[in-house]
Amino acid sequence: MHRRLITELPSRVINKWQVQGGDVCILPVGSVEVLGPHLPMGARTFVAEAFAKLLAEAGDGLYLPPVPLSPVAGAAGLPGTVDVSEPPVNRLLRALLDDMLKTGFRRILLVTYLDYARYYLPVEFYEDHEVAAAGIHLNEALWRPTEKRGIGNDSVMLGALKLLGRDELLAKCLDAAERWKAEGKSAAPLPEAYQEVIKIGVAGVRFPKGYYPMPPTGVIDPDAGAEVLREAAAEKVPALEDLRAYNEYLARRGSRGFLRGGWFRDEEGGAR
Amino acid sequence: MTDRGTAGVRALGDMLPREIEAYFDEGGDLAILPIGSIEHHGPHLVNGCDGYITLAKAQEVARLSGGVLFPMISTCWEGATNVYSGGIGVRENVFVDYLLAVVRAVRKAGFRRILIINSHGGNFYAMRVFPQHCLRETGLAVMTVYGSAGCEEADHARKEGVGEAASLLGALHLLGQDDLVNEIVEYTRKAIEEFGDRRTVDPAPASMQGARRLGVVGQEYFEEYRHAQPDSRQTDPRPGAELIRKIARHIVKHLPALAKHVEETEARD
Repeated sequence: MHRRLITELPSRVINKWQVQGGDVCILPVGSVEVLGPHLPMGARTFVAEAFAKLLAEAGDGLYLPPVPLSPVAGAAGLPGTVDVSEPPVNRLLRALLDDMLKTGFRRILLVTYLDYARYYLPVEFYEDHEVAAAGIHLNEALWRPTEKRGIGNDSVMLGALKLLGRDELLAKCLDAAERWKAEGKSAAPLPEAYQEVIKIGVAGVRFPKGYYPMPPTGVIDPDAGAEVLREAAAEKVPALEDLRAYNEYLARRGSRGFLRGGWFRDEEGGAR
Repeated sequence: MTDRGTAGVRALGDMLPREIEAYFDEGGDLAILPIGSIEHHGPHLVNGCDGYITLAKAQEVARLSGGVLFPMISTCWEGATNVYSGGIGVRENVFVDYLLAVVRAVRKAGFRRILIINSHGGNFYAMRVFPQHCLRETGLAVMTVYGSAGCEEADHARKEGVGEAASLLGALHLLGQDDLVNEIVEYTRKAIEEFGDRRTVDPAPASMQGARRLGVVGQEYFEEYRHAQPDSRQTDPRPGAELIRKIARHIVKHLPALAKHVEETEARD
């Protein structure tokens, strides 16, 4: 199957693939927010989509179009940022995961930057269905290959554009980065009080005008960014087999059996 | 989001921060929000059929109006096609709650006029009541548009045979996805071989017809070709593309009144 985006396939093609054992389905979640002067507002969506596409291709899966509008952090007050309230987004994502199961997918993955969604939704999904879905946090998945190459998150975001064939948009972003650097610009600082309080915990914030979480300060290398995404997706592929085995184990076990210790023991009674 | 069809379109996901600031500085205030669905569309059409038609329509509205095209919300309530593979949807109230939160966020982001475009029949009733629901719950006046948006020219073209398949092919052409057009034409050819050309849909079971005399009853599309019948006349993207352009021109012609409507309605609320 040369297409992996579920909207690009007729149902009978999907059915044939499912009958042959296809059961991986990936739900990417993005956002629209100000990140850097050289980054498109939908940069996180592009990363989520590119990662989902790569993982679907490498792991014989399908992926949904990204959910493009979700909660954002401090950029909420900046023009054009679309900061959607968390609870309705979580309910939508959870309902989509449920329907993915209902329509026959067994290995279900959520790909997101959202802390809440990637933790609670798979866990609650398991509690209700006794089927394990996996929540992939993009920061975690991309961190090690990004560090290894000594590049910034902006390179990964621009790498996603490259992988998605968005060459014109990529050129626009690179041009904006060059101009920013040539003009000697710098991002406005975060409020001092905020910088102080976050030394001890987490506080809500609205970024001041002119502040960018990802200004173009370091080396920008979209090719290396694309490599990061490829490597991060490839690293997850073996775990897809583990997810299958885990769900088969859960199905064999029959019920939760926490009190019987079933969670911790294999069929021979050994600890797992 | 694609480079292929977005020339001359302000697509929010593709915009840099300075571009969206400049849009607002110049007095821009129009958000165009497409809604899609993921559901079975016969043996030959792709599951994203309604979404692609909506996105192409929204893209043409954005091109003609200068408004900002939002990334599409690709899922909503699915409908009577649940038995077929790859359809993904949510309960209507889950979707409506999400859309309400999105509308709030879109307004906070700086947009005053919000135009929601939908082509999914299963979403028709929900989107018909949504503007009033939204006004009641948030005090915000938004507009939803469905199908041909009252465009007589488009309705005439539909009667002349420009159906869903032709609209899909036209949409994909406008979105720069001619490779997928070719694949769908091939799916159509094979489906015609299997099911026949423009096959007549079998009548619903007698019990269902009887129950329907009471009103709306739950149902499934019990033949694979019930939702959309393979049709050899609908394999050319051009009539569908023209239909979409007509609808977009018609919508844009009426958009100036939306600003006044928003102002008057919210002032009264």
